[in-house]
Amino acid sequence: MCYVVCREIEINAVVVAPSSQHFLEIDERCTYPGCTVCLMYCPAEGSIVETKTGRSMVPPPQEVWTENKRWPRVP
Amino acid sequence: MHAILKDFLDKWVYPTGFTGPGVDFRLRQTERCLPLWDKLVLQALKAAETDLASGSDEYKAARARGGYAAEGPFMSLKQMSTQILSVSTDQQPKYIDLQRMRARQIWDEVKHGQLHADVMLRGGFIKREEELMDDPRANTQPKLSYFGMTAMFPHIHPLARAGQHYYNESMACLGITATLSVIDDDLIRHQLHSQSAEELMHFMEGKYQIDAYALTPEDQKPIEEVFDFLLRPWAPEPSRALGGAA
Amino acid sequence: MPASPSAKPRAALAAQLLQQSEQEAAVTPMDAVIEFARAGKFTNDHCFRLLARLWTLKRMLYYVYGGWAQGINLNDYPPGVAYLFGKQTYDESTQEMQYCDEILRRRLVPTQRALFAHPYGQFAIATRTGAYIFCLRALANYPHHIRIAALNLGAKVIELSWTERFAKLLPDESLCAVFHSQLAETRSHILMGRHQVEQYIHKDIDIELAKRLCVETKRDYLFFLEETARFVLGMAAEKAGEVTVQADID
Repeated sequence: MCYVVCREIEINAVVVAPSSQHFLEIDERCTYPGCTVCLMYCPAEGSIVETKTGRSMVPPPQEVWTENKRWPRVP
Repeated sequence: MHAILKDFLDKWVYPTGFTGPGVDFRLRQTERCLPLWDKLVLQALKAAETDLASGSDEYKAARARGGYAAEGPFMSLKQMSTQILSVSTDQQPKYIDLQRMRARQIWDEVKHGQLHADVMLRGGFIKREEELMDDPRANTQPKLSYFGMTAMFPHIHPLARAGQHYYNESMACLGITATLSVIDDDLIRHQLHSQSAEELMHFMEGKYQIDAYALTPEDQKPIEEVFDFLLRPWAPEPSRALGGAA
Repeated sequence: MPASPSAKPRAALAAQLLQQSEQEAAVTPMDAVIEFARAGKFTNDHCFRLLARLWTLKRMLYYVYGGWAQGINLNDYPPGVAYLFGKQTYDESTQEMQYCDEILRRRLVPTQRALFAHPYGQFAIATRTGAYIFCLRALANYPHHIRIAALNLGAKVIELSWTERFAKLLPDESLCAVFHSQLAETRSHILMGRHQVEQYIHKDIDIELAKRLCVETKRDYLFFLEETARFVLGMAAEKAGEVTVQADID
């Protein structure tokens, strides 16, 4: 889901890797911790880890989905 | 509220990446779902305990046959391809990700069929998966109306399926967790563990679709009508694979 | 499904379809694109045109595979057929996403929506791209093993051939990586085609239909490649009667 979400908000930092396994990779376009939207839709516990601290971001810790972190969606 | 449901809500339902009318709509629908999700957890726990107490291995085959009937390879191709076709070519710029999700889900679901077949094979209930083609119990879909509803989505709205994703795929997640908390059989545990991440993915798709796309009353209406249907007293109960009777 | 007296004719059919397709794949209009790129003339715009046209084809395949899947009923085939087709559907979607990603990574457009709106990413009905998609969509009228024969032992063989050459010969490393990463999937689709022809084509009429439909599908695919190569290289679209592709069925 991180791929879909990142594409929708037009950051496009999650890409299909050009290898035959086609893993999803996060590239330098990612603006974390400014943007944390993908974390709220990732279903794979422990699959996204904060580099600095090594802590798991999935499921997302409470402080990354506070009101001021959310991406506004308007019709 | 059962602890399994509370944990699910805290981890996967309430964390929210967006603000806006889609999120507000989803949280309203969530309130409607809660009593039935809670009931499902209790039902799955009871079914698992009953199965364990049966003193026979037949429950494993019954679960696997039920699962195969609901998400066997051909059923999965049919169901998920309707979603791919629910996006018209002029809507593709907006909804191509729905098609991508369904292409992935086709692959997920046919693998789930294979997992159920593995239980039958490794449990010694059959020698070849093809034997299931001759067993009506492995081919009778539980609640035809549920699957027929999916088949109608190309004629209704590309987002309508989000209602099924949100309400039913969450039940799959809850049913799996509840069952795993009771049943210690390796075959059953392997099957449930192997598909749990994908079931959660499908639930997340429902959550995301509503949060990100259901922003206007026009887009919310077809989803809400799906919830209305699913929340009727005679609504589909979980498949036998998850402890239901169907 | 009637029992077959012998597996030999089916194996021969699969081998024949493969061999014919491999011969036709030896030279395709995409060779002109490779030569142009190897001569160092490939600009960002050429790259954009190439990726956008390939992406446009892949994104239309959702409608083809969706239609095909609707035409397979419970127990028409053993379960392996559904597993393999499910994987092929997923593979094509992954490749579609890859082309889109590469366009965005190169900043050729800022967003996916902009790609849909860009002239290079348009799907137009009155084109060879349209004709090929419509051809594939019409294969939904036939049993699954026949349409798989037509696509996977026909156009897919040609697709694999030019993709292998792109993966090996294009000077741009990241483009090579994209094409290289698709090879295992496309090869598996061809192997699946051979398997299904060998397993499920039983009747004489099915053998004949597989041959005829394979020819027609390849012809439309080669025309798609012709249109794509011209578009990438900025050449004028074909004029009536200018391009012919052999369509013998024997």
